[in-house]
Amino acid sequence: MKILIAEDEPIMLKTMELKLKRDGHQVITANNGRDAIQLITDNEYDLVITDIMMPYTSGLEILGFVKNHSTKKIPVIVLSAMGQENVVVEAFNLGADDYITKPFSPNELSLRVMRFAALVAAA
Amino acid sequence: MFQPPYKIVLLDQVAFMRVEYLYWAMIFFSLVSLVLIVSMAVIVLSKKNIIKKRSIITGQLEDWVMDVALENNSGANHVFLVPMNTELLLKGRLAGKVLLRLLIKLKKSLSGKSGENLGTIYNQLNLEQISLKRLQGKLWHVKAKGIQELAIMNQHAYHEQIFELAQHKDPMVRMEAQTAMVRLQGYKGLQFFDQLTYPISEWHQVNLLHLLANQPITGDSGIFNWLNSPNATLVQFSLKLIGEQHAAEFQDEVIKCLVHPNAIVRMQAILCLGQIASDSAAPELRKHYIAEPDKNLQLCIINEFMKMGSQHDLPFLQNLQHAADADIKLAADKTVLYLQKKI
Repeated sequence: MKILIAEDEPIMLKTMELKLKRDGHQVITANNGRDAIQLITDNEYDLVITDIMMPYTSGLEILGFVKNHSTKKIPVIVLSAMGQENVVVEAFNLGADDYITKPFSPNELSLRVMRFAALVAAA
Repeated sequence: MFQPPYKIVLLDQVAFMRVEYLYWAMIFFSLVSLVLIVSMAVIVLSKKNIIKKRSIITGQLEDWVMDVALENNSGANHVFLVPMNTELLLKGRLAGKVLLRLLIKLKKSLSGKSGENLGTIYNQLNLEQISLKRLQGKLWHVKAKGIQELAIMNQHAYHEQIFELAQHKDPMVRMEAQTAMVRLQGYKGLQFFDQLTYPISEWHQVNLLHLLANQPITGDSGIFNWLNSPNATLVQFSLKLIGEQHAAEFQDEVIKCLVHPNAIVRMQAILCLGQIASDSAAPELRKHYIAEPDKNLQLCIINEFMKMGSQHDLPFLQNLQHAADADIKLAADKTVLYLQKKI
């Protein structure tokens, strides 16, 4: 699967990238929302994983962008910090396909991504 | 002619404004400026140097830290292999701090096996000594950082040192220590409430409530003592806790707070009863409405009926629609309309 990860914390971004690469996925990263939107515009992805709190453009804006353009079929997993439950509701209203609350286990992320990989393979 | 009681002495201006003095002043100020510019340049360059060094060390440590975090086969007493170059690097003071920063950043976002691994490597490399040194530091922000690091890394062994800071005179240190205690020990960590002399800020109350959100409150947590505390903010916090957890078993204690001398506590007790929303909460609020001297709190009671009111409350509210006060009348109108639609 070709996955785009948008996360502003470099070490976290690299850890997720490494984990998903080890699982055999092709991973592209963006450390802010603006770059993520540019990458979505220029390339095709099977899955987008985005943090909510990011500089320039938030994860919700990325989600809104994906779901309101020709890219609306791309599943989006939203990463949120604990205590942002209201934001999660907003994310689902915008069309998020799944969410993970931080702190999370990288194995949980792998499993959730695998679920979408199965859906992509079946489609 | 009038003679003042003091003698006026005029300075010899020509003598005072001698050119050499001007030269000396210029030299002096130039030297001061030079020293300032040089010191600023040195500070900026050394800071840049540290940032550069930190970035190089981060690059050297990142891959290994990620490997540690993603290691799935580590058992309970697993000892992580530290590569020779990393071991050499960690002998430097800066490298330990950089590693600690990386671990803390990851620990905030990762849980499960990865979180455990990060804790293990933190202990294996004795990084708690850096955190402990920070905790014992003089500056408030250094102290707060040390406390936070120990709490994030679940260092239960240091809870006594942290507890001592829960009554610190600096509000930020105090807040960090109290948060750490709750993070480490849950309700047991709230033992600092027994000696609490400082008020708990609204922000800190939210913080603590958030940390306790998934832990149901019990009678032996100390809640009865907190509700009778002379510290009004502690009573307010306890009421918020009961309300958020809809803990109806403490309703009688909440009702007692409706006559508290502090209006903020009374307001919180009203909101708390609204959140508990038991069958007996509404009659208690109706009864209290008449005794309540503060109009804002009377309005608060009327608003609470929007959440928990039923048809039994309609006669009371309809009666208030004829009140002389326009605000009360308006609030009662809104609530009656809302309840009639709901029922």
